[in-house]
Amino acid sequence: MIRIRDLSDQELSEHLEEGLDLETGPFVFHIQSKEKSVFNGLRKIYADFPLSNEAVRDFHVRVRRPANLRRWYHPQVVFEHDGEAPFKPLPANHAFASLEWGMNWCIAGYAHHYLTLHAAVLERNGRAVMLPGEPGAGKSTLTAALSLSGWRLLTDETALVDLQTGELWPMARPISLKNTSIDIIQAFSSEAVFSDKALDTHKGTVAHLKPRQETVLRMHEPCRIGWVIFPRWQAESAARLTRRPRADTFVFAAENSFNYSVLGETGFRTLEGVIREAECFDFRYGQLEHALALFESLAA
Amino acid sequence: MATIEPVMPGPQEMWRIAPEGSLLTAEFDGQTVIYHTGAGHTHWISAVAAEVLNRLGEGPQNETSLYTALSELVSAENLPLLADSLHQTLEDLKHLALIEPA
Repeated sequence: MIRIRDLSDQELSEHLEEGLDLETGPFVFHIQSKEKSVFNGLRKIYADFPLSNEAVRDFHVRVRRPANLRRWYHPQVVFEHDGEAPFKPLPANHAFASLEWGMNWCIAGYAHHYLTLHAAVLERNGRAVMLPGEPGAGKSTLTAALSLSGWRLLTDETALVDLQTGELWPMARPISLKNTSIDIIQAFSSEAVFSDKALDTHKGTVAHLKPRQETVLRMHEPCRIGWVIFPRWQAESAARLTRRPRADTFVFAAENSFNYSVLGETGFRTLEGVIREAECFDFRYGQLEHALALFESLAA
Repeated sequence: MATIEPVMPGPQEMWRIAPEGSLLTAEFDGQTVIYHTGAGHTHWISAVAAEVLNRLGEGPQNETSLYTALSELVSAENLPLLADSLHQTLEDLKHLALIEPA
């Protein structure tokens, strides 16, 4: 098995020019780009990821410069999937972030052999915690801290629920952090490895946190749900779990699914199985250390 | 120009489950979530609404017969609230297109 880190710079460049088949959990992305920030992101953040030997690729994506005058003035990049550009061009220094967002878009839009929910998922001692949450709730910051504290990251963005077994499958991708969250996690752990920052994106400053090696090595190991926890960071709040009705959790998860409606009855029954199996909580926290201690006790 | 408010059927009007699609239910800790396959919508419904849908699933009924059936499930001190609750529930379920006049 060849991993990105096994490639020389020249080999990686050549792969990216011809198309690099990157394995991330159950998906294979065929990635083409000549952008330096894509090269750097893959070299640094995806170093542990294997190249796929599969003949079939799930998604063909490309990040390239559009052929216009802005090629020289304020250069831009455009993300393409199967030759189509679903988004407007972005500044060239957002190329790696653009690739990440585009890959997420592919999975959200096409991976209908899973129930896909907008939530982070981590695993400890064989049980998964799912962290849905509205933007700004502190989900990604907590996810990053947990992943650097012994919890196995399955996904920061999209929970993949197996339609047959109800198990949660890893997506094994970097964690996208924004603005002050980047500084918080940098201060939290010396082991945190980040991509170059993309400045002035529509989300502010964005950087991607490299997943730990365990996440990549176990990218084909699903696990069963243990908890659904809705985190909310609140300054000076004590770390506190309060039980949340399963019915309410169900409706929130359904409304924040990418394809629940597409799947119809299958989506309903799959989500029912997940919620029935999980303990559901709201979670307030003010300090990461207190949050981690509480999660530690939960998983013990 | 005057607008005409839709008239709510009276206690003797018959109600039925909306014929488009079917209703799937999941119960969690005494609370019910329902999925309307016709519309693709999911709702977290009250215990009274769940019981109304359950009864109408057996066939069309009017408000009076629903009241009689549900009153057997309600404690004596809550009976005065049942009529209003049932009436409102029927309105809500109609608004959600889960039931309609038969």
